[in-house]
Amino acid sequence: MQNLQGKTRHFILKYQIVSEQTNYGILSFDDVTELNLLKLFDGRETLNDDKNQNSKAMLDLLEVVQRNSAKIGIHNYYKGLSITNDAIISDINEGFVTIKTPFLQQKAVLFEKKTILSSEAFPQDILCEEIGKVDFEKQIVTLKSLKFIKTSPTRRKTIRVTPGEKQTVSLFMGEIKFHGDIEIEDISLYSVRLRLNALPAGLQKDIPVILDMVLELDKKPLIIHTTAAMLRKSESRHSFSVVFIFQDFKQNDLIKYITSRQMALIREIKGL
Amino acid sequence: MDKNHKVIYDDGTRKCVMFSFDDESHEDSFLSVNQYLIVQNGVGILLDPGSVAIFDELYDAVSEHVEIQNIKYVFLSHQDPDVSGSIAQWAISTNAKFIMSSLWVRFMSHYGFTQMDRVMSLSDKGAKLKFGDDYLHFVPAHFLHSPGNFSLYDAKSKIVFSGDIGAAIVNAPESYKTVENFEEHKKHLYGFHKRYMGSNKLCRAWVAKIEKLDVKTIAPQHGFLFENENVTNFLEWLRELECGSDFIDELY
Repeated sequence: MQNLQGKTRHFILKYQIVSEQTNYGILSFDDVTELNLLKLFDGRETLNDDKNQNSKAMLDLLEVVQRNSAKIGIHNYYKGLSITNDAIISDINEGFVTIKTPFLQQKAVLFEKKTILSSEAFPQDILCEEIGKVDFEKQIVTLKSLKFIKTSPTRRKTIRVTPGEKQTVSLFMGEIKFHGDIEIEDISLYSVRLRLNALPAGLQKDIPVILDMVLELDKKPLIIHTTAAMLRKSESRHSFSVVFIFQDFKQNDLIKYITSRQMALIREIKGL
Repeated sequence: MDKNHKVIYDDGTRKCVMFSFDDESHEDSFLSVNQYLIVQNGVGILLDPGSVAIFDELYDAVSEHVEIQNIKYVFLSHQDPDVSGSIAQWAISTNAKFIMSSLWVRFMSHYGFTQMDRVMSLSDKGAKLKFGDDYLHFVPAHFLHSPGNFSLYDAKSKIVFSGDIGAAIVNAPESYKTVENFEEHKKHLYGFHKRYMGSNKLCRAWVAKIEKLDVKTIAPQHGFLFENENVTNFLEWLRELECGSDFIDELY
């Protein structure tokens, strides 16, 4: 129930018999919110309350930021290319927030169909999962479905990009080559994420594998031969995604490759 | 350590290193370029790291003095390619923040850099940054030559990293040189400063700022270091220099 200030509180309804008065009693509400017991009685309602309180707190924060005309950061990723700019909140309404941000960022938002907002005023980054109107003339974007997120790609320590079309990769476990379908999802200076149609038998965290990758740099093949160790794996409907950490690889060529790939991605998004 | 890098200050806790890597593919239009590194407690700030052409060599040389991942800041005095051209490479290979004039932030995407949240942009008046026990001062040097331009003063080593101010057109640096005869060196300074610097008024404004600091060395991005009495000699020379718009009739 909400109290007079509109804040959700947990009340217990109490019935007390009045002594020596037959058929009479006293009903009262006791506010026991501080005891934090609601989740014992109604877990789902607690989650909803938290969500509502977070949404309210978030909107309050965004309003403060808007009132102060403070800039916030807006972050998108185009095939791994980080595109970050400043934004100004121009309107806040029930359920959506309108921001003003540069043209390239608008394009990135439109491509990714979601975005992340950051500010020193926020306790955590805010993920916007739904994009409303994108008006290139007025340079505004309307964002919906906002929520605080505990982990954010803005905290990535390394840049990782999707490779160009010309790529091959082979995975060896000892002398045995994995013969399934395999491709590079993204690559950074320290790791590579591979998509496989099956998991090789015996693939485990501590067992080193050998990766042979051929990428293209300045129209020449860039060969990367390294041992690597699995960091984590995840499964989707038709494939597995496995992240490998490089173990003995000189990074200079990869710096060149990732820089060149970034330039290509900048040209690509500008041409969209 | 080879001839391309030299420690110019080391008090046991702070170290300043001068590098000189050039794009050797363009020796016919040669202008020697200096890059600098300040290190304290294993943490580094890299100054004007230069173009893509020298990235590999500078990367290897810098890693002899500091772990690349421990470079916390990269300072770009202005936007020129021989200063900022490798920003994307340094962004990939470090987690550093990039310190530059707010005027040039939007132009950095032309070098392949798009992570604007990693930029600490400087407003025109400059800023102070705590580094180790002391401060680094970002001193305005606008229109000398870039419209958004800063020198960096390290209060510990008492070095002014002056960017293009003090630059000299000299031959390839076979060995590291400090200006020994200022009168002789003036001819290497004049042509560059006359054409590249904004005006005498701007030179005076910068000199006035620098004279308030305790300076032992001026370290330009091209040419030789000014030490001890040559700091004063250079500042006096620059204060009186007519340049840029002072020669407007020659230019238009």
